[in-house]
Amino acid sequence: MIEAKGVVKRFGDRTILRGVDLTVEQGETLCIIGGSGCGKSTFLKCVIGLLRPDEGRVTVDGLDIAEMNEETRIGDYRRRFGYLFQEAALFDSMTVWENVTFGLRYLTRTDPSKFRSIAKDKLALVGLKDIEDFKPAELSGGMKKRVGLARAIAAEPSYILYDEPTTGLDPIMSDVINDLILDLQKQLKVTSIVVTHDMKSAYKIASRIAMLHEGRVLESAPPEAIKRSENPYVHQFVEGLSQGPIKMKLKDYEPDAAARQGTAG
Amino acid sequence: MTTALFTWVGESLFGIFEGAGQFTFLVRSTIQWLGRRSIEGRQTLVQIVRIGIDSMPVVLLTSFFTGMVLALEMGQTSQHFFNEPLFIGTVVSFAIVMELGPVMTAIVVAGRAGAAIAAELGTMRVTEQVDALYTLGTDPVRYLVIPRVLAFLAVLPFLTVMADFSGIIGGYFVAASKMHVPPNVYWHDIIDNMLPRHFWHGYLKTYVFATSVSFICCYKGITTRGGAEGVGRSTTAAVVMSMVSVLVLDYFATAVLNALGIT
Ligand SMILES: Nc1ncnc2c1ncn2[C@@H]1O[C@H](COP(=O)(O)OP(=O)(O)O)[C@@H](O)[C@H]1O
Ligand SMILES: [Mg+2]
Repeated sequence: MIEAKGVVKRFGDRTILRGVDLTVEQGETLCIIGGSGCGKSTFLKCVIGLLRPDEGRVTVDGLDIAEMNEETRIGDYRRRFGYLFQEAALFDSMTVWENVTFGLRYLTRTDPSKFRSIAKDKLALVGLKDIEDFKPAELSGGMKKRVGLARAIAAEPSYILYDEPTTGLDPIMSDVINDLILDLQKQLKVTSIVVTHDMKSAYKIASRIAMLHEGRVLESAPPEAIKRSENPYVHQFVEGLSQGPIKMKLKDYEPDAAARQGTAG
Repeated sequence: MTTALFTWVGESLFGIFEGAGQFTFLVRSTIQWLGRRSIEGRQTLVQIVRIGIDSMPVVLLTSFFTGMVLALEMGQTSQHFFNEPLFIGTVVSFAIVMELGPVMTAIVVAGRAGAAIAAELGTMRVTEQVDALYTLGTDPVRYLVIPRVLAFLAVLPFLTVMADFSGIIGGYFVAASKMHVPPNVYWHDIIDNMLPRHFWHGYLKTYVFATSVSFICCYKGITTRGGAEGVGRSTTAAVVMSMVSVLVLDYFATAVLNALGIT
């Protein structure tokens, strides 16, 4: 179980997360939706411990990484997670199969002679074959994303954090990834947090959807409830309307709008 | 106006202390990982080969010409005062082995391999590859920094010895061809005067330089921020800071070695 309580994260004098409360039950898939730059990736990084919250705490199975300082205990915490980066973050000095199996050396006791065939299996799961010996620079954006996904699931973690798993994929491949996420949840009982803009995918895979806006959770409810939400912000977002309470300022420079649009995606 | 000045001074000081704190953290974390003996052997080997091969040609070339110019200057001066070229081998070899070999090699390697390290680690930082290392169960210090620091410690002394030979041979060519110094005179000027402690004086310094250059370049690399522009900025800063550190530390290392009688 992942529990976030009052998570506040600042970068310099900009407060990105202003008190996020979220709980992810065992076996659940929580989708986080929200505008670009509202802090979705930042939140995922706080969960896995890449960033430390300035206030509040995140606990996973009762463990709080902020209280750990021994490398072995941090390792034990981290071993529970697989993480798909928004831009894949593949190691560009390594081949695809070395990327996919990189974590096995540190997170598991797998025999290195099996790495290549494991990589082949994991790549097949994300719909890729015969690219084991390519370098990341030779792949398209969508392929990189899928290699990143294969890498995230290679060590068979019990929690998977997906940062926009279907962005940049064609509709069919998006659905393949949706099915994969559902399979992992059903068969391996994986607990996941999925950050996404893709409402179709969110409705399909989520057991619950949470909308993040201006650093707080506006609403967190099952997909059907979100679909019919009366909250005007949530309604505008899930319907993708340009008119509504969420203003995307294009002209006037305004710190808040700049913060929202700071990083695309 | 004054408040702006105070803010600027305050922020600069804060930046310096913050940087120093992060740098200390990096060094401490490196020592901790080394204490745990978890060394990435393969990565270290890859870095040794890369730094060595990258830097070897330019190190040999610069040192060769340094030896040549020393012989030329010394020959002229000696000719002027004594009407014949005296002790050219002695001057060239002492200058190269004790001072110029170690310093020039460190500076050339900082510009070649140090820049490459800062740019590579900087790119890895801004594309989140450094974060990915963490999520995959290892640690940037263990996987990236330690292999590079160890590789520098292994390679820089070796390159310096190569540079010493190259410089002395460069000096020999000029002495023999332009000054008409007989070969055995040049070599005897060296062998009769050079003692092991003269060699150690230059050699031990290279460990100081290797440590400072590698840590500075790794530090600048993994603390890079701000996309491609940030990578450019941190690479330049890494090279400039490394070079300055070599020249400054050279003075202190020399003072310490002199105090210990290794001179
Ligand atoms: N390391 C960082 N340093 C400074 N600002 C950051 C950093 N990471 C993210 N931000 C800022 O935090 C905001 C939220 O970023 P992010 O979590 O990536 O948003 P998104 O919801 O699109 O994933 C952005 O405005 C971004 O500029
Ligand atoms: Mg994001």
